[in-house]
Amino acid sequence: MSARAKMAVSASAEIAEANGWPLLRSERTFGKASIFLAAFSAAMATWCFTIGGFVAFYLKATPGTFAILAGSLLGILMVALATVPMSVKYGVDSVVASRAQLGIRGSYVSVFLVYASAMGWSIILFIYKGQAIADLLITYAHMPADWKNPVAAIVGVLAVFLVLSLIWKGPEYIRSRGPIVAVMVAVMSLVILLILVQKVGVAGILTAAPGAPFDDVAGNWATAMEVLIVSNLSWWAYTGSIVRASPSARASLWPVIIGFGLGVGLGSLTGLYTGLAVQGSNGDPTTFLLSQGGIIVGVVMVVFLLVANVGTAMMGIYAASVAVRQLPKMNKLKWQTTIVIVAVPAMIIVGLFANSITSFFALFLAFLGVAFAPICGIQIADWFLLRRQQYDVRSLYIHDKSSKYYFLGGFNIVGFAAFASGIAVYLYLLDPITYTFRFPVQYLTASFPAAIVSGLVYVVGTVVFLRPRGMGGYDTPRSLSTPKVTEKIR
Amino acid sequence: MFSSLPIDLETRCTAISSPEAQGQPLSTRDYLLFVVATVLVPVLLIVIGSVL
Repeated sequence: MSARAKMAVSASAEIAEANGWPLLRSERTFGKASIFLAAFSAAMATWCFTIGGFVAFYLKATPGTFAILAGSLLGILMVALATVPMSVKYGVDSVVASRAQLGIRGSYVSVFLVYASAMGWSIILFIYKGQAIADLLITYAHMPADWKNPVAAIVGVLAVFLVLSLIWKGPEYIRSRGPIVAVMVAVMSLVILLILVQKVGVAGILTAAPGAPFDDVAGNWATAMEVLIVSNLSWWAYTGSIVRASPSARASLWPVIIGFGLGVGLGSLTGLYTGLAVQGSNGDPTTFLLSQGGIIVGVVMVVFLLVANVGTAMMGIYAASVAVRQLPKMNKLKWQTTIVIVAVPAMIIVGLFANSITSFFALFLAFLGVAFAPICGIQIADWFLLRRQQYDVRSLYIHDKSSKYYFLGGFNIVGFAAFASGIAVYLYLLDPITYTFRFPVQYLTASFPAAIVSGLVYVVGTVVFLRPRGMGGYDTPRSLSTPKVTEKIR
Repeated sequence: MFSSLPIDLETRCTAISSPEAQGQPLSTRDYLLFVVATVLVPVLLIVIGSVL
């Protein structure tokens, strides 16, 4: 192939990658190392401290460690099964693939879910940034303690502006910073662990009591694992977009499991131990570092923490902006306009929730379970049971009635009924406000029943309603719509 | 009725229907190992963690 032809092929692949079009195997450049780095960069962020801190409410260090690792692997089970086979086969991301289950227009719901999850994580970081600065001011500038919440809110909103100014330069600038942030957080986690062990001792961590456990031991385990499961479910979109650039599902699977699953799991352990050893910290090491690290170590580590938080929030706003740009007409907006539109709701929520981060976090975790467990259940059932691991790829991109995935007005009502049933099951099993649960959450968690019920409703609805009416391409699973330009290509 | 797509996208949709252009799928062995890592290992972790 001539140099000119190679450049043309490369440019075509770049356009396909940016627009979410299928990537051909020959164009895919991600090997095991690239996938692992991309996954680990996304997973290993300062929100891991928050996740681990939540587990510290329910379990001591030893069972908490096992629950975090088990929950991470269980969460990635659902996400990997729902995304890796289809995204690798056709080189498409999770949102595009969801058009086969929710409909061409219905898949905009997937875009919203991706936006909301990316922003939710970022909002948590903005609030923690605000609280960290407020703690610094209380400790070193003698600011009255009762000013903490308003100051945290103001600083949190200012942090959104700071992140906006940093990502103003465009997506390329942000993408290249991901691995740096991951390394920073990993190093910081190790240093925090060392300081914890030095100050509190291994015995102090192991014997520390959880903050607010239930009487039911199984309930504590299930709740702790649920936190990790839903945290990993939020990688649904990231996973699809990363593995579509890999030529092999086998080469993708293990880097995804280790990078995402254990990345969050191992990162969360620091939050767990901090949450147990420093009561009231919720896993955030700021106060501990300031009080125990000494002025120099404390301030250096807090600055390090703030930089890592800013870096992680940049990734979050970037991911949310990319999701929003998949909506009709939004991709025609300037990058700068998109990030402002994305960031304004974050500013409002940061201002409102700055003094109730724990409530927001519990609500956000429930949202992740409610949103992504049903989607995963539906996609797994559709891909493995109904479509026999085949899509009509052309129909994923056609926006009118000629698409097999147009369903009714662009929406698959069976997909939405299944989605709604999964939400209902989740909310019945686990109250997102009080975080109280019903049987059988102690033994099955809330996410797995929600995913299973969604998948079952989808299968039954498809067999009873869609297939007899010839909707959704289920009547001819092995046929593909004939493209009219086939002859032209030849 | 067929709707028109951008020519590059149309070409890709046609090409990706060929197994040579598709990503290599997981084998049965891959699925078994996947289940071991994400189902059996977590179950073992839960059992061990509960006993300790």
